[in-house]
Amino acid sequence: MKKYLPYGDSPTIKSYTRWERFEEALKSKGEIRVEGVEPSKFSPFEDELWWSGIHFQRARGFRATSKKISIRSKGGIAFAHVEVPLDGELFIFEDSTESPLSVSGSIKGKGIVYHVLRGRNPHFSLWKVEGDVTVHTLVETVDGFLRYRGRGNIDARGVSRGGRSDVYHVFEAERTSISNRHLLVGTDGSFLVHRPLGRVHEGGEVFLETLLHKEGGMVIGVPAVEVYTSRVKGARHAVKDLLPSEEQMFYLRSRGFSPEEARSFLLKEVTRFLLGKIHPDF
Amino acid sequence: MRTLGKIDPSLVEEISRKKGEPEWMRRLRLRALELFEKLPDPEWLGGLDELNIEEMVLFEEVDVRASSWDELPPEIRKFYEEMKLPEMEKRYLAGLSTSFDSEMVYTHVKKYLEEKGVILLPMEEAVKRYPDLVKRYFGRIFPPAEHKYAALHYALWSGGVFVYVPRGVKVEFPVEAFFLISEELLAQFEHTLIVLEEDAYLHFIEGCSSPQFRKFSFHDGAVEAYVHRNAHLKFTTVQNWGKNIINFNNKRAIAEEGSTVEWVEGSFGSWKSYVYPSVILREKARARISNFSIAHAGEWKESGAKLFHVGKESRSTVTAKSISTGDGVSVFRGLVRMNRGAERAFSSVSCDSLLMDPQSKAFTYPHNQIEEPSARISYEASTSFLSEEQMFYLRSRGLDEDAARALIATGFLSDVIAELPPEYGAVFRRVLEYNFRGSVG
Repeated sequence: MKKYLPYGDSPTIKSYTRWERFEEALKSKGEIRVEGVEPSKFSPFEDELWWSGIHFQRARGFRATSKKISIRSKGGIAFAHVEVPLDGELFIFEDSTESPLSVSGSIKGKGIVYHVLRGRNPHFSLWKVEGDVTVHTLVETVDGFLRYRGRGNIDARGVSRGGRSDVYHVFEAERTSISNRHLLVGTDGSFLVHRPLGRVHEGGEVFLETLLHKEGGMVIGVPAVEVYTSRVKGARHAVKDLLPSEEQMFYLRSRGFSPEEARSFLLKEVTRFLLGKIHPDF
Repeated sequence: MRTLGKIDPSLVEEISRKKGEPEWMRRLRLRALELFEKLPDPEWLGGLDELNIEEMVLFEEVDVRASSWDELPPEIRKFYEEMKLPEMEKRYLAGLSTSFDSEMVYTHVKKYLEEKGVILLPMEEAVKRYPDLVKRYFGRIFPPAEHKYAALHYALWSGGVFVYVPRGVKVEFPVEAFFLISEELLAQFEHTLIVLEEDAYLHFIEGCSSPQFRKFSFHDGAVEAYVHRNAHLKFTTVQNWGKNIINFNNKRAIAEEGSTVEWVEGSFGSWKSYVYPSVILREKARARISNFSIAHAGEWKESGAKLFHVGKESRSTVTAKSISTGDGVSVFRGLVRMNRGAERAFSSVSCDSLLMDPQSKAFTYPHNQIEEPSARISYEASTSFLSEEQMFYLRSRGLDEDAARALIATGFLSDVIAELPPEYGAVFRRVLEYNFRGSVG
């Protein structure tokens, strides 16, 4: 597999996520069992969903039993629906580098999901999350949108960088706790949107945050919260930019840091500080 | 004379003819009507199902123009006396203009300000007396094409004031415009235009009130403000419409280089309300928007702010507070846009909601767009709740339930109320207390 980690050098992303786990997801070839359809009809590899040819193809009803799922399209437009029971760790890698891809799926259970979307073709990814789930997403140079709809105790965090991507997160919190943080790293020509919506019902708790880091392009954060009763545990949302202030830069530069070093250092510290507030594991 | 019925070119021309307007204004109205017919209903605007605009009185001619209270007919004067406006004017205001349904009936500005060149006139009169000045700004800050009901406003506008403050003139005391809807099934489309020349200062207060009606009335007003270099405009709204008003207000200012615009918006009344003051900020301009709203049972209150940073080092701050009681819904809808070239611009938005009852709701929909790498945005929102501990604490100190709720609400809004002139702050507190004592329990 081609190695594509142009963003791997970014201290912002590295410090914001458990980077090595994304690398794990990217490396995964995937092992997926297809019920009712012979995998070989679609793919030269048994361990991957792989569509080829120029024909419009559709596949439904995949039930993944593996902890590593790799979904990619090769020629034509690929549609897939995957249901994944979750227990422990799960790696999902979607790749639309070669042709458009549309994936929908549901994740149900308890554990951590590492989800990577990559590609430059139209890419639509819709996931339903249920249970006690932590989701880490990395959306890279994707021309399309990712949509998560979740119910349960969910901690979703992610990064979007480059391309044109619209990331939707829709969460329903009823006697559950939901936290969502997403970092947008705008590069030249990119257009990145993060739209988390938290709907808070009785006993629910929602915290949404969009972090903006602009190297270029356009970044848009639209975190929305709907609180339906006063009998909730809490509801908060925020948008913050990670641009270092002039004072901070001056302080570090006067101590011998180059502008790049100073910026990297500050971003790393800011993200570490923010993550430290969320979860002790990070 | 009353105008109602189908909204078509002949109705618009009739309003224009009655007002004796110049040709450019007649054409502007007709173009706006074309837009109204073409544009779709805004998706975010609710409450229109209950409203049939063509059943409403769209223009009510009031043949009264007074510059002293004695000149007003007693049946009109009594409304203003009940609200203590003559007393307020004497003690506190530099100028006052009051509307009665579709037209301004009383306008008075202190003589020394007239001598300095300050203009305070009903909008219709300003169109006739200062056509070039009005034409330069009218409809250029909040254009009719913005959305369907902005177009309707421009087609049917009537009433409102024109305020012009010349270069370097600082108006020390506030100028107020007071808008009254006296009957049900009436639509009010007043238009206010404020122009501040370089280094000028003005505090403009807008008051809105109406009795309680059985049927709906509709308010679709507009405020445009052009604030030139280094000038400072403070605009305060005390909106206390009756419970059956659908309130829709279009407010926008252009803040030129180094100027400051402040909007303070207090929304107590109306059944459904949609108000988003907006500012276009040029280089080093400053904007501060403070708004608060109360949504009682059955009400839907939308407030927010729109900020378009186009100039370098422009700065804006938004503080929004809302309280929901019963099954009332408070909504914050905001937009902050940093255009490319708005180098080192900064915007900070904070939005807090307080839910007083289990059925109360609060929704927040901010929109933050950054195109300029060196621009910064900070947005934070939180929702808090009336807790049993708070109530227990206050009740154990002898307050009854309504008084305790009113105290908590006043405390929650205190930093926004502090933005107001002391006299108006006191009025706000009284209205707030009345609101809670009268509506919950």
